[in-house]
Amino acid sequence: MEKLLVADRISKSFGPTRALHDVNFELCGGEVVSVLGENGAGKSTLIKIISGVLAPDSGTLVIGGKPRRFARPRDAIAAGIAYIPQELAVVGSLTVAENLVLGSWPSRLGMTTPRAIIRRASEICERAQIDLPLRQQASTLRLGDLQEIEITRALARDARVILLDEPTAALSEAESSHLFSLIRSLTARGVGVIFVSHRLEEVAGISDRVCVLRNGRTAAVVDGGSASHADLVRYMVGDAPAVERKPRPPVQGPPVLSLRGLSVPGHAGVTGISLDVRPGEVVGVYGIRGSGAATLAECLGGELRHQSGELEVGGQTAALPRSPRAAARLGIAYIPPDRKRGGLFPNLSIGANLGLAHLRADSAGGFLLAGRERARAQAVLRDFHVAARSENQNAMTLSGGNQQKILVGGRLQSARRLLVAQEPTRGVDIGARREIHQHIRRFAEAGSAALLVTSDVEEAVDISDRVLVIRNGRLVAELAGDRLSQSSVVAAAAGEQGTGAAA
Amino acid sequence: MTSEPISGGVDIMAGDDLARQQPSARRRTVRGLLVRSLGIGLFLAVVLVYFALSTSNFLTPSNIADILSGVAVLGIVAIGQTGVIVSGGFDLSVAGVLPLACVLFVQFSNGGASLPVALIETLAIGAGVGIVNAVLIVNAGINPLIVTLASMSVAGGAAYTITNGTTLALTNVANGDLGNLAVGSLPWYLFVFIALAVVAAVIMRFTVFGRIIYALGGSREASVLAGIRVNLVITVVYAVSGLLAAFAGVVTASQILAGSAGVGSTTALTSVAAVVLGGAALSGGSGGIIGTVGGVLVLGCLSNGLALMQVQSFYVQIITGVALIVAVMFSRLSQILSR
Repeated sequence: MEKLLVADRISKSFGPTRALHDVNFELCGGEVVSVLGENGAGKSTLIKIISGVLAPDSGTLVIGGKPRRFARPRDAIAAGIAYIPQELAVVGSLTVAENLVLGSWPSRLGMTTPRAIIRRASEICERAQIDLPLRQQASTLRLGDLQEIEITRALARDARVILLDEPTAALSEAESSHLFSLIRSLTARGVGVIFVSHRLEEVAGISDRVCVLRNGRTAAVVDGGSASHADLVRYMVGDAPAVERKPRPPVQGPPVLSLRGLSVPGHAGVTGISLDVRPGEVVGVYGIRGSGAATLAECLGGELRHQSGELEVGGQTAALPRSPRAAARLGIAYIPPDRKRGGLFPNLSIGANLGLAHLRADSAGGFLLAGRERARAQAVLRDFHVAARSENQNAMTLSGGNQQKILVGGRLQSARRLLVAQEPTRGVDIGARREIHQHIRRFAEAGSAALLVTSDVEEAVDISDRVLVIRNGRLVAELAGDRLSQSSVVAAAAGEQGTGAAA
Repeated sequence: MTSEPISGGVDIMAGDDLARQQPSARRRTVRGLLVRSLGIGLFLAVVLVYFALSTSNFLTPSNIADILSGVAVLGIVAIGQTGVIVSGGFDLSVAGVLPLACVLFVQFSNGGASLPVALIETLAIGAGVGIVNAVLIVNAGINPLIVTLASMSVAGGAAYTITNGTTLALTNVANGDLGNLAVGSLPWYLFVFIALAVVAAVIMRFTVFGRIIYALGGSREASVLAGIRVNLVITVVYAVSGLLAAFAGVVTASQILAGSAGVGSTTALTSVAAVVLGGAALSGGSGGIIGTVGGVLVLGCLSNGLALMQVQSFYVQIITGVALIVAVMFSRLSQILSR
């Protein structure tokens, strides 16, 4: 088979962090090669290099036999590589046909007609050998159909390599199997497909080969048919028994929070989740994207409205919080996953950001007590070793890691019973990450409790007393003690049979 | 939370850095604040110097009194507008509320209402329009620009309906005395404007409510997550804006001793212009009362000074527009310099 794409000893660093180290990758026509790896293993860096978003520091890309350097995504597109991102670039207010001709509108003297658009769009579909409902408005379609629009567009541009970045993360089972038959029809025509996914059974089912990345290196390249799930997991997380875990005595006492039969309908919803969190413990919740783990956190943070289930907080029955205010009244502090979208106020100083959760305590007769706010802010700056000039500095002038420290420090100050943290160290440097972890543990050891919802398996295993695994909206495993390791968590989340009984 | 050091040398270094930089940090922040509010102050100074040099009677006490009295009505509206814009909203309805209040105050007074009663009734209607705005924005989820454009039209139209397009003379002599209330050549409403500006500046800067307005304008999502009653805050901000616009209408009625639906039609955009001149971003979260007062004074000085130079009034409009752009660019520049 003709080699469509060869990546030879690709390396890429971001500052001191080495994202990719001598990674090799090959794709032939008519093949599906999966890229597998934990968060931070280098998957997205590799994909960005192949699709021309990033340039490698060293190493070469050989496309169709010729070495190429991509300065921008356009170059990759011109070389026949089509990247289908998770966030699809489909305009919902336009029809499918209009989406297909975007960028190459048929026009005569600057005028275009619906008929001309449909004609051009059906030519595109014919060339791509894919049928689409051309007259339908794109926003009425399901996600799987939108992916098909993108793939059609790619094929119409004569793409030879199609890169699918976690395409099934938000798809229903029926849509996924439709996508897989589409992928097979692509490979039958000699197109090469790069498939990125967290779901082991999918990867094993569709791939000719699987390229497993770990810590920026190629951990293994195996045949899709022959590798067992256990092998793949081992390649992903390595042989090492993760971390030395300090033995902690099992936590006793009545739960701080106890949840029974939580169900949230809808996309990435959850079904019948029950859990207890006891004082002094950090409970990790792990699940791949779209599994419902994030939904659980949002529910406890008061961000959702349509949930059902029973809740006890501090031994008393309580209504599930339907607003962040209600969650705060229950003594729950919630750290949202994205500090830029719901965490910090971009226009306020560090002090004002930290003070916002304590306006009542830091004021008298409606007037702010600047001294108290300053003391509060300085305590966080000191405890978390934030590299800031002063608490009057605008919060957004800090580095990402320091911004995150401000967010976590502020929420820890206002958590009375339970901290619900979602991805508390996403995108921060290793020093900030360690510090945030230590503060969360210390917060729990002081007699409160923390529920840590994360898609970072290392984080889940490192700082939790036990880890609950959520898959397809259900709690599928509870892992603690000897049974808690990165491989057991990943295996349970990816759906391997026989790990951990359902809770 | 304990404060013992957690990890190695780098972090402790950071702590030392912090201690060492503290004094200079404070100085830098103070300088930043000064430069930011200086933007509009500097611009005002340029305008003042220019007119002082090019006309003989600009910097005379009586002309200054004229300028100040002239900007009071716009200033009162702009104070309310500042709260709305900082919170991330927009209030065009002031240009409908102002004439409606002017007409209603005269109507109530002529109907025999005493001054306090007529005043309170008028202000309540102004606040009511603000509350209706807020309900439509919050509950119906309609864009503030569209909601207040509509209510501007409705309130302005109501004023014309009441007067039937004519001017209602204020016949209640007791209430009309308001027009003569003054300290020397400074009319009463100038003092009210100053007092309102001081109170508003204190609220915006030193109170919990002010802090919440800035937070809301900075990030609505984070405000909701922080447990702020966003809907309530929006309602109060629009109600205050409506109330102040109504008060500006009463002031106008006392100036002309009549109720006319034709007054104040430009206040919507002029008040927004003043707030933006004062350093606010239309996206919310920044700006302030001191800046707005500066913006109002710049607009007042421009129209007064150009009139003294006998520039025709339509040129004044053009020059005001250009000045708006220049001043905003100026304030962006000073913000960049203060970083």
